[in-house]
Amino acid sequence: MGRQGLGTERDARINRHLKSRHLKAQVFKWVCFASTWVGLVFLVALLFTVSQQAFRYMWERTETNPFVVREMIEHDPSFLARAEEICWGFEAVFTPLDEAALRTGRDLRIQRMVKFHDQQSFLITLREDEPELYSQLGINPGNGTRWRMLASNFAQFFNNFPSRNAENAGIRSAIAGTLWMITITALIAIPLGVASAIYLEEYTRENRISRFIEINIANLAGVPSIVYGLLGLSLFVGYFSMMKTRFPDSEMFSNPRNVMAGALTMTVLILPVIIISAREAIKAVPASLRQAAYAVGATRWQVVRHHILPAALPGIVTGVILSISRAIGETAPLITIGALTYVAFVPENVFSGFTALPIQIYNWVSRPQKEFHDLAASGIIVLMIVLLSLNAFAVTIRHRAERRLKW
Amino acid sequence: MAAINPAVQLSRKANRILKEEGIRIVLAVSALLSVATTAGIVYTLASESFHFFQQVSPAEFFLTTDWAPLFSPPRFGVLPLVNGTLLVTLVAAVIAIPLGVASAIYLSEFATQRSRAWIKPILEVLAGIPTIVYGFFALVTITPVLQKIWPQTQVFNVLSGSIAVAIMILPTIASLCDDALRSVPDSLRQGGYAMGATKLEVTASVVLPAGLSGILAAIILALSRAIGETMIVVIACGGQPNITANVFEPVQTMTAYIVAVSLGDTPHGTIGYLTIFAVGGLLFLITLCMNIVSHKIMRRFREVYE
Repeated sequence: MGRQGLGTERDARINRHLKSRHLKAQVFKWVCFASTWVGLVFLVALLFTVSQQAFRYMWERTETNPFVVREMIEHDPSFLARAEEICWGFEAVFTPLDEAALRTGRDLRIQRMVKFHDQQSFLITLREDEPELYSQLGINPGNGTRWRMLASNFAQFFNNFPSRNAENAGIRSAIAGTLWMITITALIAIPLGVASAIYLEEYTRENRISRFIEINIANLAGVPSIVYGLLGLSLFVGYFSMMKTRFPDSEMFSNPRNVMAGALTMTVLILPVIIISAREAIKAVPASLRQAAYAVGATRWQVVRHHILPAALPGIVTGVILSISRAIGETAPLITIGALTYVAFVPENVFSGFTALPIQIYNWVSRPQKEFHDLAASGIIVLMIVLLSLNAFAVTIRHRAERRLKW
Repeated sequence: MAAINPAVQLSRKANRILKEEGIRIVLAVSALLSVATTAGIVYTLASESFHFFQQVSPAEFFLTTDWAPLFSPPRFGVLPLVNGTLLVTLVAAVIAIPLGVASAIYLSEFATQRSRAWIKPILEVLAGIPTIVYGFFALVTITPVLQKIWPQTQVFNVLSGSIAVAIMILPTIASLCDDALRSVPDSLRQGGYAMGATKLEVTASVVLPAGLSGILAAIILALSRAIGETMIVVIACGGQPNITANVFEPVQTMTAYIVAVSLGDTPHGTIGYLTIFAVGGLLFLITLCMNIVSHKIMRRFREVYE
C-alpha cells in the first residue's frame, strides 16, 4: 500500500516532468519554425517595398484634389475647383522652384511645390500618406485621387540618360554600360575559369602545389569584393593612367577608368567562383566515363573534349550563370575603381568611360529627394528581374540535367 | 584497309603529342592566373600600404582614435573605422546567428521533405540579391520603422544597416549549418530517442554538439562576409568615423571609408589614395584570417564524418 502510494507520487512527478519536457520541445519547434519564417518575411517585405516604390514612379498619381495654400483659397474661392485643370498643365503655368526649396518641401512632406510666374503664389501637392497634415489643413485627401499609368514614363526610363531632374532621368547609359562590361567579363572569365578547372581536375595529381592552388582559390572566393576594387584601381586603372600620361594625345587612353578596367576587375572577382563550380561539375562526372575513353586510346584532351565537357556542361553553365549574375549586381568594386556615376552617353568601345546599373541605383539612393528613391526602386526592379531570370534559368538547367542524366 | 605510311603515322603522332602538350600548357597557365590574382592582391595592398606607412607611423595608425586623413592637419587613427565595422558586424551577428541556427535546426530536424524543397530555394534567392538592394531596403524601410519605435534613431544608424546585413548573411548561416546538422549520422539521433529523449533534448545535447564545428565554420564565414560588406553600410550607416556603442548613431566602417574616398576624386599617389589601401589591407587581413580558420574547422569536421 505504502509502496503503491509512493509509486503514484513518483508517477505523478514523472508525468509532470514529462509534460514540461514535451512542452519545451513543442515551444522549441515553434521557435525554430518562426525563425525560418523571419527570413522569408523579410524577402517578401523587401520585394514589396521595392515594387511599391517603383510603382509610385511608373504610375503617376493624378492630383484631382490638391492643397492650395490658404492665401490662394482666400484670394480666389474658385481656385480649388479649377485645381485639376491647373495641375494638369502645370508645367505651362508654373515653373518649378529651385532644388533647395524642393528639399525644404520634402521635409514638410510635400510632394510637389510649384510657383506661379508671378513668383508669389504656390501650388502645393501633399503626399497622400500624410493624413494628419491634410486634416490639419481641413481638406480631404482621398477624394478623387486616381492612378494613371504613364506609358511614356516607362519608355522614358529605358531611353533617357540620367538627369538632375528626376522626371526625365533614365537608365539608358547604365544598361549599356552593364551590357558592355558583362560581355567582356564573360568573354574573358568563362574560358579562363573553365580552363583552370579542367587543368586542376584532369591534369594534376593530388600534390602540394595543387593543394596550395585549391586553398588559394577557396580563400580568394572569400575576399571582400571591395578589395578586388582596390586591386583593379591599382593595377588596371593604374595601367591605363600610365598609358594616358605616355600617350596624352591618344583618344584611346583618354579615360583610365574605362569599360576594360571594370571588366578586368569583375573578371578577377568572379574567376574563383567559376573555377570552384566548374570543378564541382567536372568532379561529378563518373570515373567510368574517363576510363572507358582512355581504354579505347583517347588522349587526355580527347577525353576532356568529347566526354568530360559534354557531361559536365549543365553544371558548368549553372555556375557560370550564377557568377555572371553576381557580377551584374556588384557595386562596390566599380565604385572603387572610379566608374562614373553620371554618364550621359553610351560607351562606344572598351576604352570609353562607363556607368553600370548598380552604380546608377546607388547614385539615386544616395540623393535625399524621395523622387530619386522611387527612381532607384525602378532601377532595382530592372536589376532584380534580370538576376531572378538568370537564376531561374540556372535552376532549370540544373533540374533538367539531373533528370536526364543518371549516373 | 590500306596501310598508313609509317612516316605519316609518326608525324601524326608527333602532331598529336604537340597539340596535347600545347593544350596542357594553356590550361596550366589559366590555372596559375588564379594564383597570380592572389599575388596581385597581396602585392597591391602591401606595396601601397608600405608607401602609406612611410608617411604615417604604424603606432599612430593602430593606436590613436581620430580618423580625419583628408583634413589639415590630417589624423590617421584607424580605430573609429574598426569600431564601426566591428559594431555593425556584432549587432548583425547577434541577430543573424540565433535566427540562422534556428532555421537550420528547423530545416534539418523538423521540416518535411516538401517544405524543405521550397524553403531552401527561397533562402538561396535571398543570398542572390545584390547588396545594393539590401542597402536601399535598410534606408527606405527599416530606418523609418526603427524611428517609429525609437524616436532617437538618426537617419543613418548602425542598427538599420546591421539588420540588413543580418538578413544578407542569414541564408549563408542557415544553409551551411543545415548541411552540418544533416551530416550528423542518424544513428546518434536514434540513440538519443531510444533513451526516451524529446526532440529538443536530442537536438540540444546530441545533434548540435556533433555538428558544432560545422556550425562554427559557417558562422565565421558569414561574419567575414559581414565585415567585408560594403553597400549596405555605405547607404544605411552614414559616413562619420565615430567610436561609439550606440546603435542609433551613424558610424563609418572600413569599407564605407574606401567608398567615400573613391567617390571623390583622389589622384594616384596622394595620401588619401594611400589610406584606402592601408584600410583595405587591414580588411583583407582580417577576412583572410577568418576564412582560413573557417576552412580549417570545416576540413577537420569533414574528416570526422565522411
